[in-house]
Amino acid sequence: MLEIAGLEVEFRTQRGVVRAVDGVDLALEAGSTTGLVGESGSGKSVTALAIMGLLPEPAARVIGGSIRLDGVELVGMPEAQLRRRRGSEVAMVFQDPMTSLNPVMPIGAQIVETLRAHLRHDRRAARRRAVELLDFVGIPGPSERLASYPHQLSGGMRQRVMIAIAIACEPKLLIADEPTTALDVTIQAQILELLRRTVDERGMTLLLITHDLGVVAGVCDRTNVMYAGKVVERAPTAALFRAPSHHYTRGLLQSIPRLDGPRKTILASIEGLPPRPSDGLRGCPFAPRCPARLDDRCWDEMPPLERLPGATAAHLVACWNPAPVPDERASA
Amino acid sequence: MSLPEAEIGAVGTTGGRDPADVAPPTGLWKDALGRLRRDRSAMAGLAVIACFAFLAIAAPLIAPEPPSSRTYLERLEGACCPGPSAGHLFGLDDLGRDALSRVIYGARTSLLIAVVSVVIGLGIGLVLGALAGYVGGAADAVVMRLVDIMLAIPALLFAIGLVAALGPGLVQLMVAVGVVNVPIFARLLRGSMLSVRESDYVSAARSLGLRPARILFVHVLPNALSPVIVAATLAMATAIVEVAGLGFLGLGNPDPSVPEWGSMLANTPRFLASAPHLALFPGIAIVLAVLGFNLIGDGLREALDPKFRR
Repeated sequence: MLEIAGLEVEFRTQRGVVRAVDGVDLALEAGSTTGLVGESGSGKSVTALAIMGLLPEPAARVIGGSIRLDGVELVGMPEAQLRRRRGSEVAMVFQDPMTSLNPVMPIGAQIVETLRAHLRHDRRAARRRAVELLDFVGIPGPSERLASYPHQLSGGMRQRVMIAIAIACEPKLLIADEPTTALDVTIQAQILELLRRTVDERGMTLLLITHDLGVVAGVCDRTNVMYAGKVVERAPTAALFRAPSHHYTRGLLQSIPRLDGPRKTILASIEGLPPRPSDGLRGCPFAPRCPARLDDRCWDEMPPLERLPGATAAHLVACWNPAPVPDERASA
Repeated sequence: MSLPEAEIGAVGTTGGRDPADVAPPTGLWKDALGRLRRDRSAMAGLAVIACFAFLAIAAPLIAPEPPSSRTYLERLEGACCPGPSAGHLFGLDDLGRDALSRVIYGARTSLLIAVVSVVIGLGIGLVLGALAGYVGGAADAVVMRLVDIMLAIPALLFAIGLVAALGPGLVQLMVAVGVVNVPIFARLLRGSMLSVRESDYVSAARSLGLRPARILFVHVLPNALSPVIVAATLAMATAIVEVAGLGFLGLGNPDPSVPEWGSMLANTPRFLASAPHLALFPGIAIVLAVLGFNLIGDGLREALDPKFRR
């Protein structure tokens, strides 16, 4: 239902032009949950903003590629039409629930406002619906809570309210940009569970953006790993965890602390820093940090995102020298 | 549902309540008012201003004499400006008018000018500030250069020039003092709108497809307004001083039957040695009113500033 092809987004800064998203392809099937993983600056949030049509113009703009939602091209669509689609067809849950609600407005009014912006609800119907939504996202005493102000709710409750607002008009696509990063761990699990229940019960498609592979493992059918504005590996989530083949993905997985390992293991990290645009790399952006780089090819030529040899057709990797898929029979 | 209830525990805004009990909704403004009420100096300021407001409204009932009625008896005895006495608590002025009555009536004019001029300044300043802060681009550049020019001229000098251009009169006085405040309000609102515009809840509102006008009036403006409200309160104090200054310079209200504190001071230097009370009482009134507005303004600033919140 969402097809992104060759998306390129540039930021003009005082120190020159930065290509934040560099040729991203992404296809989301209706009803699927897709993860977009990467570190800060890898372009995952910018991709989300581009889908929403909310790039901070004129500093940032889409310079190439297309974003189609149910076959309708969103790139270059007039702002008024984009605005009508925002909230009703695509909605977004933001990272920090502490700052994403208007502090001077009761939460009920914020839900009603969204409902009335897109649906022809009268006030009473909108209010009734707001109570239903708050109930759905697990806010106790929803009708009394309508009059609460954001500062009277905890972080987890506020994120529930944000989800209620985002799904108010039954959007087909829900984008969650680091929805749990600002919450503490016990609440994170609840919010992820709520997100999964929401898309299951309401038949929505979810694009989950995070830097946390654990979050992806719990929620997403498919996972895309982004590095320096490019998708470097894409696979069904289980396959990705079983056989990470891009060396960046492997590095990410190895740098997760484990409870079941020996106690004094030194936590693995990926040496070096992500490339800066001024580095003028021609080849693979991960080459300077890659433990398995080939001397000429990796520096000179960007590898295409292709089917990983020996894996399922759905497992794609952009690497000249991917880690081999472990032999299923040997490990079984 | 035990988990969300555990979350409610973090809700308590009113200490000592049962966490499961749903706290009554209190808005930002109600919260601020609650903090203001606990601020003793702000309350003192409010009391002072309330007293002046009461004097202004009830002047005909309270003042012992109408503001322009003259007592000729004393003048015939040749003594200029007798000081306070039982019959005239603040004494008489050079024309034999009761100073107490004129100070009381003066509260009317001075407060009225202060309030109306600030409202005029706010009206123009908010429109300009919103234009600069929300529309941005060329509108921002034009408005802000205009504001810079206005700020480059000293306030009182600017007001004098405006009164000179507009001619004498109460309304002209209000306009002059009000326009002087325009650049201050415009600049403040612009700055706070720029920061609110980048806030997460405005991004969230945009991501929900709300209309730009709605985002501006419902999400940006109410959140950007609090520093301007503080400035407006403080501007009342400045306005009183400016009106008094203009009155003292002879550019105040030309109608002698409508007394005003600054104009009352205008004649006093001639009699300062023999009749200091003529300068004293309007002066005290000015100082008290300015102090009152400043105390309220400072209290409001603390009540509305998130840094002072618990």
